[in-house]
Amino acid sequence: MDSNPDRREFVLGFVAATFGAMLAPQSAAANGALRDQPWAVWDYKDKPVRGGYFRTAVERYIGKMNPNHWPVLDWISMNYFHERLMLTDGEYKPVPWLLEELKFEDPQTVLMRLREGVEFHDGSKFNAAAVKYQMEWIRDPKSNAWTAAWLAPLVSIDVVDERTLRWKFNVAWAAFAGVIASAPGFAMSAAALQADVEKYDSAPRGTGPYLLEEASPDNFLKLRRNPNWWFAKASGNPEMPYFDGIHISVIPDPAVRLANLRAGKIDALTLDKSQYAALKDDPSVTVYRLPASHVNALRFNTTKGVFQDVRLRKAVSHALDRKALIAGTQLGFARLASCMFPGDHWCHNPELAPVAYDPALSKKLLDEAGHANGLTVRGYYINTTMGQTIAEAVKNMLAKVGIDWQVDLLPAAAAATRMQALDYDLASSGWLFIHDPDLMPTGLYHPNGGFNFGRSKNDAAIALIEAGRREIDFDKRQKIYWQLEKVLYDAYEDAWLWWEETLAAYRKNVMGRDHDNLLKYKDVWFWSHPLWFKDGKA
Amino acid sequence: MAMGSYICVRLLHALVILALVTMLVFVIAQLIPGDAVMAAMASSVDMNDPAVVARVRHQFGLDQSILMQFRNWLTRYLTGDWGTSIGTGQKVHAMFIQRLPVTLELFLGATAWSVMIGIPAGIISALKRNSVVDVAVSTGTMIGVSIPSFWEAIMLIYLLGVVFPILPPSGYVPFAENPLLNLKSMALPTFVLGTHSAGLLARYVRSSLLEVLGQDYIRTARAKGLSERAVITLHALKPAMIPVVTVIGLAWAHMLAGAFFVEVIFALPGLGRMSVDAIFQKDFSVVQATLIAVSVNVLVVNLLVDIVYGYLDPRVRMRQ
Amino acid sequence: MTDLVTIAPLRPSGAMLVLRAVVRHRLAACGLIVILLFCAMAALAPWIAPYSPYEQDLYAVLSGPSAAHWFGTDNLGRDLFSRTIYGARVSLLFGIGSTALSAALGIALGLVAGFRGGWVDGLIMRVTDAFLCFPPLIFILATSAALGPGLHNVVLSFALFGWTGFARITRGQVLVVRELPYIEAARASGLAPRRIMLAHVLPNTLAPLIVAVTITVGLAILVESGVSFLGLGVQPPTASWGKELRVGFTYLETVPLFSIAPGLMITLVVIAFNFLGDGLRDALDPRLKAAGKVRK
Repeated sequence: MDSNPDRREFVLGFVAATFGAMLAPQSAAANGALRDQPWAVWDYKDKPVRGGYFRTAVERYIGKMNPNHWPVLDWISMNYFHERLMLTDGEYKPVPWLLEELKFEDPQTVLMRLREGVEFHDGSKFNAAAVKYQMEWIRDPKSNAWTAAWLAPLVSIDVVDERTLRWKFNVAWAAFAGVIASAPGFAMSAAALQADVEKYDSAPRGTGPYLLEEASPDNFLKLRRNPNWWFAKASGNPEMPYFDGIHISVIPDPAVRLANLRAGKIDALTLDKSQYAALKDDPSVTVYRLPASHVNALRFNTTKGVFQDVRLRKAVSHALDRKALIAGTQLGFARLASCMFPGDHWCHNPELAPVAYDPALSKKLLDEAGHANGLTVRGYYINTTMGQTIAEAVKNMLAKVGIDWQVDLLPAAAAATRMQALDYDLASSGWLFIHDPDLMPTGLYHPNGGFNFGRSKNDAAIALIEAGRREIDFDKRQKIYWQLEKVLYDAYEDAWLWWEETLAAYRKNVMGRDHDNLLKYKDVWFWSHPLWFKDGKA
Repeated sequence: MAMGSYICVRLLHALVILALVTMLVFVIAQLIPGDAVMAAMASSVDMNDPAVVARVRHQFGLDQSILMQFRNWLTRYLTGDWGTSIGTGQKVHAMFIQRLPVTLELFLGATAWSVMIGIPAGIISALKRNSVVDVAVSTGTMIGVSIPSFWEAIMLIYLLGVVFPILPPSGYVPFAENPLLNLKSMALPTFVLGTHSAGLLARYVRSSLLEVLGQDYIRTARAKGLSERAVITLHALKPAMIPVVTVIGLAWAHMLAGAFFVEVIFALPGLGRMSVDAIFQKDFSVVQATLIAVSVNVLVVNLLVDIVYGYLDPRVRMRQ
Repeated sequence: MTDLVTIAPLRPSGAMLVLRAVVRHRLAACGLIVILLFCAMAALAPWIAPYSPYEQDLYAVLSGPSAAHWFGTDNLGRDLFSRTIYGARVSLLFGIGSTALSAALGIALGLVAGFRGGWVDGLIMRVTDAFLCFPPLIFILATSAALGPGLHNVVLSFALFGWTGFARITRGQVLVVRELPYIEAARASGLAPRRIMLAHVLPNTLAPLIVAVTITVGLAILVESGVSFLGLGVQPPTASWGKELRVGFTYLETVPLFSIAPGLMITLVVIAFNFLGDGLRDALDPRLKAAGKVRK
């Protein structure tokens, strides 16, 4: 989504809404024989012990707990009690989770087999009927589900048997798996929805490892262990999850969150990057550094104003010393970006290199474009502390080549208005939770995109975006997105700055965290390898 | 003018003011640039379908004219439906009920601290004017007024929550659930708020008491042979307390947003935090409901202050 | 006639009394000196500060105190010592400016309300009440947000709510003072109301007002920090103590000076104003003066 990655919406360093890519028609990779999966390994040196309440802190309260009702402000916590049909792996490719298998019978028909032995928190069965009910509920306008549009190509769902569904679409829908790996794919109890939809917003009934025990708005969320978690049985680890429960406090100020960690009042925390220096020598805490699938960029208004000229866009992009920006604003904790997909994403084009820092070239281009005496451009940036820091640093760099960026620091509401009105030349941009490759390009570069409003109209890119939506073959789809990156890159459509990283701190008594495998398998490793306390005590 | 009709007139005034405030609030909320729905959505989930945006906007009635919105809001408000928050999705009424006890407790505690510290400090430094004690106390209260409250807050959190872990660094537990923990968590926030107004109070008390002591009738009382102590307690203290009433009254009237920083830093789910967040997200329902409630609170408190004024200084009452 | 005039306290003659107060009252002297020092610092900033407050060094961000940077560097590598010096300008200008505006508005309205009484009093008090219904921070936030970013808008917003406190105090004092015998006498003797108001009532209401002014300057500086944090008010890269205080918050554990230095500056300046206010109050309080010097 279009905001800077400063949004601290994850607690344990991991992403929530995953948008997987499309699967090959061959179902081999999609076959969910759990114990055959490469990540399904649990050979711990120390045996996991049950016990203790895991305490952590987030910046904002979750809001609504029905993923299809808006607003939801904390997707990480959502994953504790609602699980998705699919998760993602180390390259952000989809991995079946509540699904066992997904097969394209033809480009417009999918046969889906569900996992067996899964129950919702209220005891009702997770089966084809439940999924069908949920999807039709989402599509019903009376439900007020903001996700309804994401299921637009859906024509019908038919129950084939207890665990099998046949989905029919009105177009070839390559992004289908991605969609059901995100918000609409969180499995909700049909029985609970039927009984009382409004109550569901604060009393969710999912399939996840934890149930909601108590919710105090703007204060905390308390979750309790789910003794019937399907994954525990299916994976042969009946003691999972190991914590008795999870306590998520809402603490808006990052310094106070850190104080709580130091005081031993919480067990894990996602850090502000500047807090690393304070914690790296702390003997009671371990700090981990992880890639995150967010990109930070600057957007050009390529259809109105000076940046219609590609030379000026080039001048801006080359005037930015990205390494210095990362060193200064992210304290070194970010990866230089070449284009929009992060380096570990399967759609990242490996042939593209980050734009070089070349202020001499910038000045030359400015000269060529007729702005030898300098250029004044307008824009905005989000006014969070990090946003201000980045904006000031960039402004300074641009000033050195003679570009005066009159940037207004605005709160989200005002920034959104400026974006819609195309009232800028250069402004903040980026995307959070990049998984399915269709969402970000559509949002930013397609005429129907929710963050475009006409500021970008690159016909080659638009054609590729639309092709990518329909291409079901995995390799072909990957090539399309590589090509899309190249097109946008060559056109300097935006100035991509870096791909994010997160820092997570854990108290030393939290066990079970295998950092190397987490890096390798990411999301699916995280949810299949719950943590525990040493000796079962917090 | 008799007390009874005095109160009636004041109530009438209050109603007029309330009406004005209601309209003003609505207008101000409109003037703040930015679109509430876009902002809220941009901060929680991505939207790539303008149709969805339109649907959400319709859900909150934002696609109607301003006048219609005002009218709809007013009718619903008067019947007890304070609307739904765009920012959190909860019912505004429920949000209010949940958060009110927190803010109330915060202010009761703060007032207690400020009275306990401020009034004695002011009296002492007035009586021992220009002595070392006066300077020490004055400086102390001066620091209380001058120190930025959120800075003081975070310093205390580190000192008493991390370095010497006596108190919890942040968080709120309802009194009913765990009285001891509640008091422990509220100790620092109320102290921080209290020291600021304690400083103010002390200064006003000192200045006011000194003034009163310089009055003719005090000299008369002294001349009559009364002991200094009697002079002070019988004749000087009561009129000296008039500004105190004003200060406490003002503090109470403004209790909401005044606690904003304290609520954010100590992670207390109170009304101050709720209202400021709502302003920036242009969350109409919350802003309006809060400001109306606040206005009612202010008007009531002011009325009480004036009544107490009248009690303390009969001349004032007779003037009315 | 002559008796009445001589018993009535004299109008303070301004500068003479300030000087006298300052000389007599050591704390006030300290306060004044500190304020003047800060003003000098603000004025001479370009000559005192070792670096430009805008010079960034992205490879040296958030570093602690060193020989090159006495206070360390901020989140963009700028020299904190220089920024603290330059910060005095904004904070002082804002504090003094917005207080002056608030006081001017508030005192004028309070005087009129208290002295005239009747419907004028009623009207002004209702307007005061209406404004006071808004929590100050929310009012300032909302107004600043509506007016747009920029420090001048925050000054305006502050004054738009700040006058109420002054008006109430002034009026309250006027109500008490006007009952005093010599005021009645002055009125009975036929002096014009305006003359009475300015020459006799006003001086007697000054004492709590001076205290209020000094407190308000401090409050204004504190409000500026809160508003600056939320993106209104001072726009980057301008340095203001309030802004530095809030930004430095996040880095409290790594670079404590980032937050402590402006915090200390704010506290010092505000204390200085308060001490000065005390001294002035002592000097201008007619009854205390008269206590020593009733003339025949």
